Amino acid sequence: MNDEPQQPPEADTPEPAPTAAPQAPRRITRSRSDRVIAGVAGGLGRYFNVDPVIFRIAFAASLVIGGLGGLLYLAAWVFIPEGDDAQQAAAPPRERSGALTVLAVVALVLVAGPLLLAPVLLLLGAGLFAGLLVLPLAAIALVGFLVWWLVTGERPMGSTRDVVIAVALGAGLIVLCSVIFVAGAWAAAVGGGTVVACLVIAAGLMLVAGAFRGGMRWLILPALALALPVAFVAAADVDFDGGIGEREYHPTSAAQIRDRYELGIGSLVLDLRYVRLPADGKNVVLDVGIGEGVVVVPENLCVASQADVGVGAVQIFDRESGGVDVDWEEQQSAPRGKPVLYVHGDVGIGLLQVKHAAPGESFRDADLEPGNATCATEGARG
Amino acid sequence: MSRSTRPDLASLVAGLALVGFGTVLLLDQLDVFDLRFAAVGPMVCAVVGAILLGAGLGRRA
Repeated sequence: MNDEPQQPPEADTPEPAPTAAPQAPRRITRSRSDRVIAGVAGGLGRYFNVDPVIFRIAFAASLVIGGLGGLLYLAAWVFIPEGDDAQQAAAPPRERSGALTVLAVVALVLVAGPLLLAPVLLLLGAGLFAGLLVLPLAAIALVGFLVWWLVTGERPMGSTRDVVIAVALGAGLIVLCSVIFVAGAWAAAVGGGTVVACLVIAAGLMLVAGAFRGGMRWLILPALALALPVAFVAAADVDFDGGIGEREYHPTSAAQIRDRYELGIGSLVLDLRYVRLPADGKNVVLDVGIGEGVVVVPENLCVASQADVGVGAVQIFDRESGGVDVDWEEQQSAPRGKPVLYVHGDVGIGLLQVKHAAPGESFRDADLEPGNATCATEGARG
Repeated sequence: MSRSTRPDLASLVAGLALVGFGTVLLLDQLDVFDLRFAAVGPMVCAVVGAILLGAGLGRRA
């Protein structure tokens, strides 16, 4: 006699075979309860029936020696779903696998062994890896998280995938803003500052209009990323006219000295050691966007100087002034018959330097020495 | 069903701040005055602060 309740036969479905019910395949899931970060080690420990602490130590150790474990952890965080702890708890516990525990310990020793044997190399490798990959990735993820939080007003929440997508969108917005920042700075420095300023105004007007249509908060950061470099370039007075590179000029007569020397980015050297200036003196203007402008003069020349440096320093012989918004002016007069060289410097970010050196002497590494001995100082300010 | 016409405060404040900021930059480009770091620093702080204030007040409203 059969005590089982009789199931009514169905016309379309065959009679189930009288075999044991098929067992659902075991799945690796992340633990909700046994977790330090995302429950990956807890889930692995439960799946392999190994103490999760071993996986945690392995992950932590691998971070120091190359970081592969960190990437694997992140991948597991993304691709392994969270498990139902109640369901897992209801499942019959398996016996702890001694072989797996031994295997995990051996793997841990293999991972940690080099750490003990070659600490210097590992530290170097760890530092290199941390510097090149892990820290930037972590910083980008953190910034993406914060950007999403700031833009939406809500902390990224929901499933792991939702959080990852939100962080990626936040990081993408930062990347976009970085591109806009560089492009805006470059456009302003090559003379397109007016256009960029108009774009900033247009973005502001779009935001005002969008505020009455539900808001356009996503536009705030890109608009700021466009406005800030223009402000920086304008304040530093950076001008990329003159190109990029290293320029050295060695005129041999006063007629060869130009009125103006320009360089966008780089080093500009004007060597006047081989020039005999006319008695009424000479004016030279150095306009450097980012970099250094150096004027080398003979020791007995009287030099008057005036300079505007956005961010950087002015060094006129042994006197110098540095910081932001550096205004420098030093009036000089020379005895009758002696020429005065008037140097006007306009440096956005960098250094304006006037130094003296004997003909043939290297001026590159020369210390700053007192100058203008042949002229009387009328006033200096920096 | 009444539809709210209250503007998004963060976008509104940010827009107004950026219009003002852009106008200052434009005037500098047109050589009306010479912008220096001494002015740009506080101005940037004021713009960012206004945006954050607008966002914060908008969230509370």
